[in-house]
Amino acid sequence: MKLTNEAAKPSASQRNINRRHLLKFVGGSALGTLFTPLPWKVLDDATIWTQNWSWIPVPPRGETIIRYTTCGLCPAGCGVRVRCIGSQPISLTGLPDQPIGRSALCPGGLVAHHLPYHPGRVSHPLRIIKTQRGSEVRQIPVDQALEAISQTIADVRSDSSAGRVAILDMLPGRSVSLVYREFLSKFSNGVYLAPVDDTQHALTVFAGIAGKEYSEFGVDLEQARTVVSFGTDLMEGWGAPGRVSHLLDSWEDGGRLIQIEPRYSKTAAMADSWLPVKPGSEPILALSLAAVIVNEKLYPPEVGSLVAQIQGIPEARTLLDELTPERAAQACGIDPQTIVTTAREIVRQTPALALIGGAPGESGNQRADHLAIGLLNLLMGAVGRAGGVVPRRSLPAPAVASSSDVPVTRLAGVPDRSIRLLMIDASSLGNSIPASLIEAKLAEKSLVVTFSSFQTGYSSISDYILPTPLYLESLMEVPTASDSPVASYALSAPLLTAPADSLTPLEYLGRAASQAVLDWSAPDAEALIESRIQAVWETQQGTVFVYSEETTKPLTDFASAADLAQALREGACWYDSPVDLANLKLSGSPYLTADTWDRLRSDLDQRIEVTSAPASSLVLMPFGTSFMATLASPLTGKLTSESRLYPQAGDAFISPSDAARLGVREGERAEIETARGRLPVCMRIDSAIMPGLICVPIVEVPVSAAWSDPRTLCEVGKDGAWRGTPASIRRLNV
Amino acid sequence: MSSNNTASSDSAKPNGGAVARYGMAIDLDRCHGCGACMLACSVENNIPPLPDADDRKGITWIRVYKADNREAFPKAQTVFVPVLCQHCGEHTPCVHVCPQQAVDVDPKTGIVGQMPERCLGCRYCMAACPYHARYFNWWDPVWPKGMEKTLNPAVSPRMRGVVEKCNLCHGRLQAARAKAASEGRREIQAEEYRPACVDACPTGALVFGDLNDKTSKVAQMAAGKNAFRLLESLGTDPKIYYVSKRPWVRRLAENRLPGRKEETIG
Repeated sequence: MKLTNEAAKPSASQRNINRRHLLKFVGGSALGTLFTPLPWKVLDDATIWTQNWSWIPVPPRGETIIRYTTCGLCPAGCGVRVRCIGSQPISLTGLPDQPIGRSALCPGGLVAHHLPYHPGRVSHPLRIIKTQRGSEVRQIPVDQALEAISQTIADVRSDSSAGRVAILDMLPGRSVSLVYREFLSKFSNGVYLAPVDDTQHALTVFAGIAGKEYSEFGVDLEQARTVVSFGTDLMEGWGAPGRVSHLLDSWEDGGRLIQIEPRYSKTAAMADSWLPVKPGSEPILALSLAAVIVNEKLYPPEVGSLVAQIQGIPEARTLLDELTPERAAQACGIDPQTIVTTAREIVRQTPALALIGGAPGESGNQRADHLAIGLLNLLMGAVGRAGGVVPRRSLPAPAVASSSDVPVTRLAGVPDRSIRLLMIDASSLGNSIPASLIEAKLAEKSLVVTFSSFQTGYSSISDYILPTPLYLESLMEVPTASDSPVASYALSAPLLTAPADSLTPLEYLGRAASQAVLDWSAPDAEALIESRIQAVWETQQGTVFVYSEETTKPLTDFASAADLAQALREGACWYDSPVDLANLKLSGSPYLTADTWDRLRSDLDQRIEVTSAPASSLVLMPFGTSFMATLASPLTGKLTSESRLYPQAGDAFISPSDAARLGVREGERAEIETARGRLPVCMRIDSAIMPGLICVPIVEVPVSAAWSDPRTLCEVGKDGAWRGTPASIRRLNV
Repeated sequence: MSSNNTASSDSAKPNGGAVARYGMAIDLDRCHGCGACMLACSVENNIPPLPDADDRKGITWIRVYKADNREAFPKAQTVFVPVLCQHCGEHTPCVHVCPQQAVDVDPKTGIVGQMPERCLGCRYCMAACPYHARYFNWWDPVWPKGMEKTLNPAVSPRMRGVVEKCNLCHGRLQAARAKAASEGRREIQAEEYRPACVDACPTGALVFGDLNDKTSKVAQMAAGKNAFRLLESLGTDPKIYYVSKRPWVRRLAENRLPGRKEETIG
């Protein structure tokens, strides 16, 4: 039987495998493979293989070690827990149990371990040459800069009419600050300059009230139940960031924050109530609140006799009588009833405390502001009382400091064009005194040298920038913070090695003095610190907070100054014991002289005239921003350019109504013009800005940036304080 | 505003057999937009700085947004809203769309994890995420010279072409587990582990913990009358709760179009 079925047998042409068959096979295979694990495995592995390239950074490996230090970036002096791999810090966190400050770190403090690797770091001496097109920066040998300094020193010593030698110390209160003053005593016209600490300066009015025994004051924020803040940037850099956290805790128990300022700042956003007053009218409001408290007898009994004495001064009585809520309200731009209600509210929930300061000074705050807010504190019963303004003892000085040092001078007290040689320490903290104010004091052939690790701060007015070690690279002192209710002392110990070309300012000064054959040699910095620790230990009072144990011990537990020094180097902070307030007698008030009230009246009348007048133009109002957020790590770009949490250099904020009136669009390029000059800006429209204001941030910028401090456009008073200034906006794209 | 007090009812539900249900409560009335959380997160998780980055190109696992009440001066008010991965509990959009199984919900913690090693960069998850909490690496990670020495060894840097997002500091969770294991314990206590952003917040606005533990602060905040979650109407059951006493802030989370009146699911 023939099994073959001829009909079913394919023809020759059908048996041939053609391209169609091949394609079907390939297609079918591919489709079938998709139902197997093979392609997914390949894809999976491929993604893994392609993620292990040699150029992807590999984190360091090693044992994790925890160390402790104190943040030296600003005077707040927060305790820091440092996680290290070997000797390399990889993260920084705060110590929430620290007694004062509750050191939660600010954004800058969190990333401070990146500072040594910042692309903008100065690691070699630089010469800044001013050209018509801006500034040219050249790397130079350090001897060239020292030669220029020593030559100028020699010139001044040979001819005292050549000008003054000055040191501007941006971090006063350190042992080295005393050495600077001793160094300057070698000159007939040496000047030691320190920025005005606005918070401390505001509190000096209490020296008269609490007695001359105390020259320093702090605020007992933790126990205050009501805080009346006149523009104090509580949430944006004032004091230690952790203190604010503690304040917020007290709010939950019924505490209140009243923020008084023209701008809707972050502090205003967090406040229980915000009083948007016209710029410059803050002392009018403070005195008006004081007048309501006096007239309605809302003050506590313990200040009754003092109030009676004040009312006995005709000038005082007249001023307080004339400053009715209606008159003050017109000048401040708020409702009269708000003034009365606020005055009653702040004395209802005590202890109440009024704060001023924190703005970048030599600031817009003047003596009248300090006196008016001081009076308010007095009438609220905040002076010398827990939860108010409290006196503190000064930090013990090192024994090696000479008694023949020069006094601290305010920049405003220096004659114009008189400084021949100016050396600036910690220049990168330089947004507190406008550079233009310093420039006005420089002689024609002046030499300005900054000791700094960055081309920011006063680098724009410098001839030389000499690199210094950074926080975490050198042993630094952290003296008492200005807002602290007690004296404190801590050390920031070095965890990293400084670059070879970096020297401390004291070392530079010593070498320059040696070259100038000056009869002075720089003391050993470590010996100076040891000396101060000895002085602290000898007080035998106060407590020491040890970071690693998060416990507080009495100072008497430390058997010797060497023990204390070791603890401070390993991470600890000494706190003086508080002044006994029970024995404090309020007397000798600065408010008991007619002269004070005459000056207050003169200043207030002037301000009332300005603020009550209808606005004819826009007012330029610079405002401070946290230094820490603008200069710390390249990561801080996430807070500025990526998220705009902080204003950037060149931003100018106006209200939507002003923008509509002027035809300004969001992001538009423009120029702000005042009688003192012009400034290019990028317009930002913000509904929280008071109509009539142009708010411009004071931001650190590198020396090469074509943008300057907005305060250079402001009018400056005789006291060195800048003021809100009439300004106009010119659109550049029209 | 619908009631958002779902924490207590949710905690009673089995969440994929979760032992813990880690989540966060953020008190917006305490956040003043300092950005410490953003920087602490970047340090902990080796997120690189990008030169010339803007809000579209930058990578930030937690981003603080600024919002206002759209009123004119002086009634204008601002709120700062930290937005991170919301660690959705149900119908997790990113998990559902990932073709690589590079995203999953850990049944023991409820944390939505991202495995960049498995990610092929299709970015479906970014499109699916209603919270814009995912970021794509357009470039290889680069740190300024020397700064790579400061990287956290517990977290590998991610290369270009992959998506990344908040994992509630997985490295810290593993470290806490390792520590517990070394002490002979199989489970960790909630207080042994805290993400870097929570540690860094200077005002204590960020509170972290186990939402299943009704005695925990985070669960109590989440169950409070002022608590709400972002886009709750989508039913994604986020484990990040927000708290504000201000009604206009709570209304922001609903993100309704003008004129739409329907209530959210609650």
